[in-house]
Amino acid sequence: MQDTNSQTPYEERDHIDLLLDDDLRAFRRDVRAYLRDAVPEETRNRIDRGYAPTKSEIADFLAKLAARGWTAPAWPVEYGGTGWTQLQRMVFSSELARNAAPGIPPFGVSMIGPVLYTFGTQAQKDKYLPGILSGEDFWCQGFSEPGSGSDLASLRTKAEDKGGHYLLNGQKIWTSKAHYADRIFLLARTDEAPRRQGGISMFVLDMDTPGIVVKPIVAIDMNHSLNEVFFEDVKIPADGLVGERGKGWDYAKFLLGNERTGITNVGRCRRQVERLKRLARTDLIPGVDLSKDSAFLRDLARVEADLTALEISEIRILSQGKNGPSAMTGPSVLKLASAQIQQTLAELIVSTLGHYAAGRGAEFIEAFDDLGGLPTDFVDGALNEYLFGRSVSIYGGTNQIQRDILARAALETRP
Amino acid sequence: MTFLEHLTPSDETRMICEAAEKWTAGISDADVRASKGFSASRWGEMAEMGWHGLLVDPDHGGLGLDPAALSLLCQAIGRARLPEPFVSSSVVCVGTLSSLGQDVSALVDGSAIAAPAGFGLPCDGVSSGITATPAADGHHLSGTVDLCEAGPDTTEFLVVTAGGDALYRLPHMTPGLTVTPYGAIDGRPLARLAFDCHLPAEARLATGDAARAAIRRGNALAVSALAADATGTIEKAIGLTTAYIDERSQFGRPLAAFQALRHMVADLLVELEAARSMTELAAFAASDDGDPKQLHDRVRARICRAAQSVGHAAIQLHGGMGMTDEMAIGHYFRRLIFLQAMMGQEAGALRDRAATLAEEIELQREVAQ
Repeated sequence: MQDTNSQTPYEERDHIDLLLDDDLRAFRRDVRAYLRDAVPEETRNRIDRGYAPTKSEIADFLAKLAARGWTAPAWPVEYGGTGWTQLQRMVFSSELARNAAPGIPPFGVSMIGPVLYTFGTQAQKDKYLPGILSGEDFWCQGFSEPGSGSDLASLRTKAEDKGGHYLLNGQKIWTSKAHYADRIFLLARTDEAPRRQGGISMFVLDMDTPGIVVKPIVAIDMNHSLNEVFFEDVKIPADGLVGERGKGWDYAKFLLGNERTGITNVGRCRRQVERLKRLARTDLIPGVDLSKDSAFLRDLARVEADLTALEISEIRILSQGKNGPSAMTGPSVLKLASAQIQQTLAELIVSTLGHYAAGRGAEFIEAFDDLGGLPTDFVDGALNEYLFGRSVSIYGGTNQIQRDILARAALETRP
Repeated sequence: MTFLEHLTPSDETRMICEAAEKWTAGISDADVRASKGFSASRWGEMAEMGWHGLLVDPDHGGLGLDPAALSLLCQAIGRARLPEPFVSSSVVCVGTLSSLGQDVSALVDGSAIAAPAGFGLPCDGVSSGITATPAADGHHLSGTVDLCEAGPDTTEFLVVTAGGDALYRLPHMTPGLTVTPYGAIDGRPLARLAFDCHLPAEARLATGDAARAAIRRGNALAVSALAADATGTIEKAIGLTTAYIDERSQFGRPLAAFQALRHMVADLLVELEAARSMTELAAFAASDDGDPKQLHDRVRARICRAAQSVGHAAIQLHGGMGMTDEMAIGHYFRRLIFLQAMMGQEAGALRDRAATLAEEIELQREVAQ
């Protein structure tokens, strides 16, 4: 069997190397060694090939991180964070990607956690933060609705104050991982207000509360990670209200602002570039030597240059902090550039697969068992990533919404 | 030095850049047009501000600053689209000559202007057609260099041979040297050089590895300076464009109210950020004596693409007015075209990087077997 997935001794210095002093280099060695053991080989290979990690793979990995206290590096130390510098966190997330680790789901650690320790009651902190830190509680995000996607403030799910509890009715959509989440944070309308953003509140709720129904949405990659969530007369206990009633929109903006560090996926992109180089030295298509194909090499060189620029942009923008000159435009610039690169990389991989790109699933892989694992290693997962990767320019604010934000920063005229 | 330290300018760098901003702010578009490619008074003012010796050790009359400072200065030059041969003389020639321990005092004080021939501009390798043969008491140079940033005020040349294995320094009045002037697309003077010259032995500054290292140094500084110049030019082109579409009305509202145009502007900001990042990387990679080529190929590729797409969109957003020589935007567009040519174009940079990628893949193949 041809060895297509092992790391070769040849390792390119990446952008993180530009940042390292001796202390950070030692830090990286420690993180790298721990993560290597924390991710089972089989998981690493599956993720590297483009398959989404399973719930149990994520849970096992989070438990290993929790053992070192590494689940929520960015949190304040008093709430269980690591106290790492921005640079250490950057090294850490780069190492997560380098090891093809299952990753830390954003919903608990990056999204609701910071909202709770910033705006929540002591009781909410005591109840929810430990489960996020231990990795035992899986969360999902109830923001989008069938009529409220990019225009989130038009949401119609209603939480009526019944004195002692709220009565929740409505529907959420695109709810990632709702089918195995333990808890949900959501936005619902509690009051009629002159500004539509004004009457919105944020709640936290257990997913096993009566009246919640989760229905799967099968995506274009034919996998199930998205859901619709229906609420019919669901009783939210009064202590499920986050912060002040009517301030949900502010908390949502705070929450999305905290998401900024994770949006570029540069580590994964760097790994994809390395995969493309590995793909180029296999003989997947007989008679085709990609290492001598000038069109392929040129495409690879171009996306690699884009990625290098993105890596540097991420360092520059993060190191400026929240008051830097790029604070307004930075997140949107990073998201647009990153979406473009992630999609280009996936396209480039698929474009090299020739007729194999038409095959799909376990039977397809078995049918080519004798080819030394080549389709297994490169085809099926790459198609997953290609298909689901179309969502990168849709979720978290579509490319068009990001452009609206940027234009607002650059132009005096309002549309 | 780590990259983050590089991103934080020193007090001295900050001061010279603030002075540069102030000075260039006083130079109008009409001033630049009127100078027709070179202003002796501006060159003198640059000398007074110490720019020509920016990279030169204080012991030799320079400011002793690093490529990070150079990068900021070149961005200011790009924004003002100054046509003077700052990159050619004060960056490439001064940098290369300093690395060889040569006297650069006349270049630093602004009384002399040097032009690199066969490297630096363009910065993507060696572009010389010159051969050197031993002759009585010296060397005989013959052949041509097709593009050299030389004008009426150029006082000397730094000439590399075709293989990049020897470097010569000669005055502009050298017998047997024919300088055929022509204009660059952005208005600065260029020339084609034809050599049939006898040079004294001491005209040869370096050979072999020493010559190659000096040329590499000149090219590395040139990539950094040109990338910065392009980034400043891009920034200004975007500023002119947003101001124009905020101002100009059609169908009863400003052009900037139309979403199709707003989204084009958004993409310009993405390009600008990429150009800024690549400029920082280029300066950082040029900060030590190592070979930054692998990173610089990517820098050239990405900057050239940003330059091209911003140039095209800026003209498009100016509409018919963008087609006129009267508007400044066309001048910035042409400067971007010049800079792309000096960086070997996106296509050339990608070709260079593709070649090293092929080597890396081959190396991995051998390791895997």
